[in-house]
Amino acid sequence: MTQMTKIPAGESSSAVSTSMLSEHRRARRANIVFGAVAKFCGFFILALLAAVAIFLLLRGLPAFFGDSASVKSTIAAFTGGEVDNFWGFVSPLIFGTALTAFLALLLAVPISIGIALFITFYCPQRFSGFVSSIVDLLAAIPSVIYGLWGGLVLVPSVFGAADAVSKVFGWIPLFSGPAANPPRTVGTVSIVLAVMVVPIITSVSRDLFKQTPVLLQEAALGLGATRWEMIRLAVLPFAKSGVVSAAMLGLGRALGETMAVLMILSPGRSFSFNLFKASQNQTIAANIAAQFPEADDMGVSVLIATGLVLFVITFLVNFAARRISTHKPGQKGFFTTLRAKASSRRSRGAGQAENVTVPQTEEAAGEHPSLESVTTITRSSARSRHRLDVAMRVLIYLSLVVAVIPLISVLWTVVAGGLAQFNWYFLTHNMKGVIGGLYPYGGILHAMIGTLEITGGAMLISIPVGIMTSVWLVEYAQGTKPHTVVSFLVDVMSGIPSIVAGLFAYSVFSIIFGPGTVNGFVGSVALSILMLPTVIRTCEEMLLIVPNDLREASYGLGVTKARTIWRIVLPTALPGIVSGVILAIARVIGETAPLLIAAGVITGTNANLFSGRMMTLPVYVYDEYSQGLAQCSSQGLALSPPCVPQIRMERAWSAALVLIILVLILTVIGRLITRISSKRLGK
Amino acid sequence: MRSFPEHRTRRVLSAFCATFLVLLASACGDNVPLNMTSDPHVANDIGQKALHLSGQFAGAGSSAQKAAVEAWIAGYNVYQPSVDIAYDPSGSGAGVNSFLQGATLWAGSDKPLTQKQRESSKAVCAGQGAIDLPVYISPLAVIYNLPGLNDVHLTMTADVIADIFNGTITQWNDQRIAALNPTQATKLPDTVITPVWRSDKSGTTNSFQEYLHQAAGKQWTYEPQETWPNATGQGAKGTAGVVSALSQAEGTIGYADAAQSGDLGTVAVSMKSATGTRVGVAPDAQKAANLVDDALKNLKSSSREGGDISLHLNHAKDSDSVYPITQVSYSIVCPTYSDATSAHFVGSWIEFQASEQGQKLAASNSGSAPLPDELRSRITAVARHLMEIR
Repeated sequence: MTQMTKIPAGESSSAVSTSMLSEHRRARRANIVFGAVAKFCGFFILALLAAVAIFLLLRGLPAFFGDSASVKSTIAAFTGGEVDNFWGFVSPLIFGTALTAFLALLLAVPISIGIALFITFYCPQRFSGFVSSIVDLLAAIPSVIYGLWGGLVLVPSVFGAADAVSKVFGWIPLFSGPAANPPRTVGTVSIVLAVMVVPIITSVSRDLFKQTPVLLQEAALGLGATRWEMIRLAVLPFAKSGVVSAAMLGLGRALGETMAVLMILSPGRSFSFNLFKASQNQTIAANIAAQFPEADDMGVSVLIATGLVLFVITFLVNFAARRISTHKPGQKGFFTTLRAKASSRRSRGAGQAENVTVPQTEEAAGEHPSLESVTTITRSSARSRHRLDVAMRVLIYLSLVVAVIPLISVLWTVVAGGLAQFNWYFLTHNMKGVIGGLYPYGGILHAMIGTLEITGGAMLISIPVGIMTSVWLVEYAQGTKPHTVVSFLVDVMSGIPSIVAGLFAYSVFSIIFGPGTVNGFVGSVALSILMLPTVIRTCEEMLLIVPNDLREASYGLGVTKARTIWRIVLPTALPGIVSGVILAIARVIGETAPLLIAAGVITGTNANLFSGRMMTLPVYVYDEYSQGLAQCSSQGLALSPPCVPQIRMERAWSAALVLIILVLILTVIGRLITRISSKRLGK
Repeated sequence: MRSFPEHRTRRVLSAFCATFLVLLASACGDNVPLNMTSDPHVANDIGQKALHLSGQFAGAGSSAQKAAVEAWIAGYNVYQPSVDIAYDPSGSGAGVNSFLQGATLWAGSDKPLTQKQRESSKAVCAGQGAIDLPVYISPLAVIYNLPGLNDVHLTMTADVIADIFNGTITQWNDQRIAALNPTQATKLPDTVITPVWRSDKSGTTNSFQEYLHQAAGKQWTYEPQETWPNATGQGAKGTAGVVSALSQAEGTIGYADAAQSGDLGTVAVSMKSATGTRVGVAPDAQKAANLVDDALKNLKSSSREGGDISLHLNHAKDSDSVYPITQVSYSIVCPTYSDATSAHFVGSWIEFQASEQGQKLAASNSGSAPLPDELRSRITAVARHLMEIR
């Protein structure tokens, strides 16, 4: 380890004892300050989460306890006079949110398990990394692009299938017809949500499957089990609770998804289960995004109150996920410390955005059904066993194909649509002075600057706090009660829906700096809440991998704890931390819903993060899409260069292309650093 | 040994800063619009040529006005090149809110101020109540997607339109539609009608419902409001959402600004001609303006002081000289401002909006209808008054 030489061992040879003493005092003071800062950051997470709940409550309070006449008229205006009380307003939304998310899960879980099995057991070792990163790509695509793709490509193409299913299976209430055309229905939305959830469940399941004890697998195969039987007997029972909790994490993600639902679903306020009928259900998140722009003060309060409800729901789901994954017979509490799991987590990639605690090897092995059952299979059933094995193999291969189709379709649509306006002018101009479809066609400079500054602001907040929190968790608070609590809260935080983060930032600033405060920094605050848990988790994992020998060697030379962490532990973990941070950035850079609320929309370039609205790339995509056709007079069409009626769609696709390229570059850099650092550290 | 990573970090940092500075330096990136100085004789009615303003001014409000405001800003900058106008199309409600808080100098709104809002506006308008000036008139089209029939205008009465949107008429080959379109009757398909409405709060929805409520009160019993009242058919977010939902499936029908209809069919509304026969009136800018002119004649001059012009359109008017499904959007301004610069800016700005040139620009970029002369001269009077404040 080259880092060892960094330790300033020369100090011992110092001649003047007084300077040594003051040096020593300074080091001690620095040590105390460092520890205090780390502790402060740890408790900051606690305070932050409390603040999210408190500010949402404060801003949403009028909806519960305010002037009842104005609450009633506001809610009546939202629902077209259908209901006028809060719970009447929010309960169909809760139903719709749960329904779409649950359906998405129903589709995503089998596919994800299939892909994870393919990667672990069917795919040649050489390609498994490649296949994994393809699936991870699905997670990297921003939701506004899924919304565009879902609304413009998927919707027109699923009507045939929906119609056919509703004609054949119409007697099942879930599928009853006639199918709506265009199918902007719950069924279509859940397909898109499933695509977004698949990578989350896949990556967690993959890691679980990889940890199945090889001995068990070999024992099963040695007894003559087919590969599928081996998976069914040795792998699935082992990973069961982990997969369930992974599914819960996916559920949390699906519950909070805003843009894709907003851009696809035809909303309604009923409690019906019709997959193929339009205007049946609406989700809380999409309702907030749809109603927020035109809402007055009381309207905003009501919407924030619904956001609070969504926050509570996702909190409960994440709580359940954690409980399922950690609750084992014979264990005392639900919140088992992470330390115990840290060792089993090591094999996981540094870049997991979502976190789930992995069951310990020894425990899970204990719950195993005995492998004796394999031996009871008779010879006569060999053919049917083989047939089942082949069938399962086909299904598992198929699940990969099913997941790759949307990826190819999304990428193809964005590239094909985005090339029209993708040029130097587009990259170096804003939208100021652009009139309808006339030349000059404008560009995205202001959105790129906005994205850069807002994301930069989010980094400035979340990276120091995140790193110090993880330092506190790993180096100071290991095994203590506060550790358990904060670690749990970080999990909760990773489940906060992005639109709730946006509402929180909006509430904080509107309460402190006056109503309607919208600027880039509000957006930074919203994004930093989404970044923090990812940064903390990846840092934590990286710090845990740093060999203890290094720390002990440093302490043995009389170096203070702070100096050891600063000079030895953090530099050693740095590549992993950097790659985790980059992946966290890639995740938030495509966020649309919170920025729509917090940073707003503007045509000109605004370089001041702290004043005035600020455009960002994902918001730009959504804004251009939502303006529709440009009006072109006959003279305009005859001009050279001509007036282009579809110019806004072309700009939306081109900006989407830029966004995807940006996210891909970040993801690839992050993965490369991970690979390099894991090679360095792993040995 | 230690210096190596630090150097690297520093190099990366400095590269980052350099890129950032380059970006900041080129931060403007504004576009230069082409030929905004159209023919000079149209610009005769611009009285602000003597005025030289500079500074940054902000407004917010109606998203329906966005395309028109874009064109107005470009045209206005020909006369006042040092003025930088930012318009945030955040929606009428949000726009009026920020105007009432004094954050913006004017608001674009699809409906006039309520009495309560007008009272509270006195705080930001130097003691006087804010006024509503109709600057944007837009014919709304009932649009449909029926291949083969999109290039003819199917004729419908208000009753039939209302019955389609409330779910009473469910098939395109319904007898009542066929009876109104005898020449197309055989072409009407046996397709289910899917009405598509705005799922967000919208002034367009309010105007369309006002038409249905006034012209077909028996069929449309819902009180007009900005939220769509039923769940027949499908809801879509924004005008663009409605148009895209329509273009994705045959048999759909919806409402949108006429300029947004694109390749879709537009309904001709059955109206009484001068000779007493019934004719279909397709969306038409001039006829939309006629409806506003009609409302202007009935406007009680004493209704509100200070030059306020809040209109009550008579959507039930049965004459082929008007197009009844028409939306009006207002610029909401103060009749006086506490500082002269703001007053001069707002005066010159609304003068340009209402000018013949401004209306032409709006028409060619947003498909809006020209303001009637009477209305134009009233708004110009308010504008001149503002520009004379010292």
